[in-house]
Parts: sequence; C-alpha cells; structure tokens
Amino acid sequence: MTICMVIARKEIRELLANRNTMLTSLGVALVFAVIYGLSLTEEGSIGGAISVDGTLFFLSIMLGVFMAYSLTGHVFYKEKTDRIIETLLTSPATLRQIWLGKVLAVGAVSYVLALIAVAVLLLITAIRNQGIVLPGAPVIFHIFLVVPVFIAAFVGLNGVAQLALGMKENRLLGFIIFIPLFAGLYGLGFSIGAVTTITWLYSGLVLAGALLLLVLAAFIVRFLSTERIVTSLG
Amino acid sequence: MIEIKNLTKKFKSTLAVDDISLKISEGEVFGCLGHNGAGKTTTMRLILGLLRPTSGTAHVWEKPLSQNPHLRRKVGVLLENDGLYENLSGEDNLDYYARLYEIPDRKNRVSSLLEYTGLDTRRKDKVGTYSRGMRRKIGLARSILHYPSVLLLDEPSAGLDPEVQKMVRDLILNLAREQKILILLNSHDLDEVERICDRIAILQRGRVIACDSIKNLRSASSEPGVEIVLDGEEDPDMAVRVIESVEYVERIALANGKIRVVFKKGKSPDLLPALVNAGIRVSEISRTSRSLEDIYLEIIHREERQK
Repeated sequence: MTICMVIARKEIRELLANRNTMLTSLGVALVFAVIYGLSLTEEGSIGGAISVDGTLFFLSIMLGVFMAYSLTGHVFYKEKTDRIIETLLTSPATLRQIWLGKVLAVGAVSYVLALIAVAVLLLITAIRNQGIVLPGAPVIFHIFLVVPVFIAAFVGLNGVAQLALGMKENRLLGFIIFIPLFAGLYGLGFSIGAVTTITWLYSGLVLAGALLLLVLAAFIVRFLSTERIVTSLG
Repeated sequence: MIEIKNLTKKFKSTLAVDDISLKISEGEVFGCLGHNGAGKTTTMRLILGLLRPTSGTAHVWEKPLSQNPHLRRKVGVLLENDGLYENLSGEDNLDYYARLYEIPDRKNRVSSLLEYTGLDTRRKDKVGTYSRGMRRKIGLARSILHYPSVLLLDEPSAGLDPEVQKMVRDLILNLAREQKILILLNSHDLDEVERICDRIAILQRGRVIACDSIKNLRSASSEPGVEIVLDGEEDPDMAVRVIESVEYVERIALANGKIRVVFKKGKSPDLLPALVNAGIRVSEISRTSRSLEDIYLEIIHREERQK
C-alpha cells in the first residue's frame, strides 16, 4: 500500500469513527434529499425528466461539496489544532503525499454521502411516481465522473488553504465558504432544478471547470511549505 | 550523526536560534537545557527540517532531513504533542505509523510495544480515553516503532508521574546503551538529564552558552570545598572560629547543622588537624558536590551578568 493510501485509509477510519460528525453529515444529506424529492413531486413535475435531471445535477454537486466542506476541517484543520501534523511531517510521508491522502479520504466519504442523497431523492420520486424515474445520460455522467472530480478539487483547494492559513484566518475562511454554499444549496437549487435542461455541454463545462480546479490545487500544493504549516499551528 | 553548523533562525525580528554549532555522535545521549524560549524546540525543529534555517546547516548523516524522506525513516521523534489520534485506539495509532514506515512484521512489533508499555489491556480503547502518562507511553512507543538510529525527544517526561518518568528514563538508557541510538533530548528536568545524558548544551536566548559533559562542567564551575558535621555536643560557632583561622579558606556557611567551607580556587587545605587540635570532635567531613541545578543556574546567571 502506498503512503497516500495508508493516509487515506486512516483518515476514512477516523472519520467513520467520529459518529457525531458522520451522523450529522448523513442527516444533512438526507434532509436535503427529502426536501428536494418532495418539492419535485409537489410541483407536479415528477414525470418531467427535466426537473429530475436538473435537481440531480445540482444536488449531487452542491451536496458533495457541502459534505466535503464540513469534513475537510476534521481532516486538515483539526490535525493542525491538535498539532499532530508536526509529527506526521517528520515521517517518511512528503507534504504532497499527506495532502493527497487526505483529499482522497474526504473526497471518497463526501462522494458516498452525495450518492446516498441522490439515491434517496430517486427513491422518493419513484415512490411518489409509482415508478423509477431515471436521469438522462449527461446527468449520469455528471454524477459518476464530474461530481467526484469536483469534490476532489474543492477538498484539494480547501485543504491547501487550511494547511497554509493560521487559526484565525481558517475560521474566517470557513465562514466565507459556508454562507454562499449553504445559501446555494438551500435556495438556488429550486430554480435550477425546475427550469434547466441538462445537456452534454453542461456536464462537459462543469467537468472542464472541475479538472481545472484540480490541476490548480495540485499546482499550488507545491508552494506549501512545512515551515508555513508549523509556524501557523494553533 | 547530527551536525549543526552556524545554525541561525530568525522569525521576523526575533532571533530564535543564534549561530549554534554542535556535533552529536552515534550512541550518545545529548541533552539540551534552557528556559522556555531559549531555542531548544526551534533547534529540534530545524534538525527535523520542519523549519528552514535563516543561515547555517543542520544535518543528520550529512544531509538535511527536509529533503530526504528516506532518511526520516531512520529518525524517531517525540515532540511536545504525542502525535496520536484521539479517535483511534492505541493499537490503531501504532498500526498507522507502522504502515507509514513500512515496518515488516507490523503486527508483532505493535503488540510487543503495547506489552512493553504495559498498555496491552487497553489496546482497543480510544487514545482520547487515556491518561496523560498512557498517551506519553504510546507516543514514545510510536517514536521507536521503526527501530530508529536517531531519536529526538522534546520534554519526554514532562507532566508525568514518577513511575512513568522512570519507565521513560529506563527506556532511553536502554536504547542508548544496548542499541547505540543517538538520542537528543530537550528537557527542563535537570535530574532526568543528569541521570541519562552523556553531554549537555545549555541554551540561552538562542545561543549555546555551555556545552560539555556534566562531569567537565561540574569540575569547571565547582568551587572547591568541604562539608563538616560536628559531634552533637560540639559548639559550631567555636568550630567556625577555628576554620576562619586556616589559610586559603574563602568563606564559611552554617546551615542545617552542617558547616560548609569554600576554599580559594586551586587550594585544598586540610581542616581536620586544626579542628582536632582545638579539641573539636568531627563526626563527618566530605567534599562538596554540586548538583546539575547549581551548575545550570550558575552558568545562566553568569551569562546574564555578562550581558
């Protein structure tokens, strides 16, 4: 097992062992899945593939990123506040390996939570519609390829920021990200879900954006130094 | 081997480490002493490559650790924080580090260290439920898990009860003597340092103000003298008057029923004949030996006076 995978495995185990965090995250995922699932059916657009597609397109990525936002702090920021990162940096693991291992772990758990929300939303619509409503091919492509890349890019960038910033700046960053993320997740999705037709162009554009962000995250991690991390510990 | 040459570290306007040069050989237990903020931890971080020197070098086996992850496999570290994850059990913590260091026969190594630290029965419990001493023990086990050749310990027994302190001390001595591991130890505990270190460096305001074996530091800084215990019925004031008349006596102090006599540098007059001739019965006379604490404080104060 490579060092990255060792770190990823440990982070996943630790996240799963943190029952409060996992139950809260799962609860948030389910609440949004239920809210959107019920609103779809209440609006009477259950039979329209457009609404289901739009909602899934939006919900999967926003919920994935929201989960990633809440879990990143447990994996990156907490290791700084606990000062464990200092010991980890003296191990054979390089800074890039540590970062990548954590990105993989948070990305995987967030993605699974987003998939659960998608499955619940589909289940609700199926129950209300008395039949399965399958999303279109661009949305399936979006859910299984674009969303994990986007989540990984978000975790990567947020992780670099959390490692590089001091404790006060980190709290401020969390606040700055949280407000638009929550507002977007709660409000924007209704309008997008109702009116947008999801085409390959949409999925392709989001994938391109996600890949660009992922490359950016992988690029800026090289400018992160152990000194920066150590001198910004709590 | 650790070699530090003209090592300097500045944080903005603060000079944390000021032109330090040290050489520590294999099998040696080297102690760094100093007040808080003296530069001990910063020096250790510079050796570990956690910080970049402003100037100078800190090399382990002639290379900086920061650029050599493979060399870090041979270095064990216990910093102020134990490096343990509270949500994982003691066993899982050790297993994680064993995987990171790619230790062969990982499970046996983890088990033997859990047994060694006496935490075998708590192996499945989360570290968050451990006491401070138990965490330190697991932290120490973590630091030697991968059979390091160099071990850096920052305040290894700070805040521990005497029993755990002894266990830590015994372990360090065992590693140094039987496995010939180079150990660099930062400590406030002068008693611990005196018991286990071959050489020490005293740091003040980022500078090394003394570096030698404890024996050499003791002989260099000690004032020659004796302690005299009189027979119970003897009058101490009378004895003091007799001693005052002896040549080369610098000063005399009377405390706790003992007369402490300091001689002039390089002189060692025999007091016993003078006391016996004066009819004073002496029950004990011995050369004074200064503790590391005395030496440490003297060096620190001397340096402050010179500033």
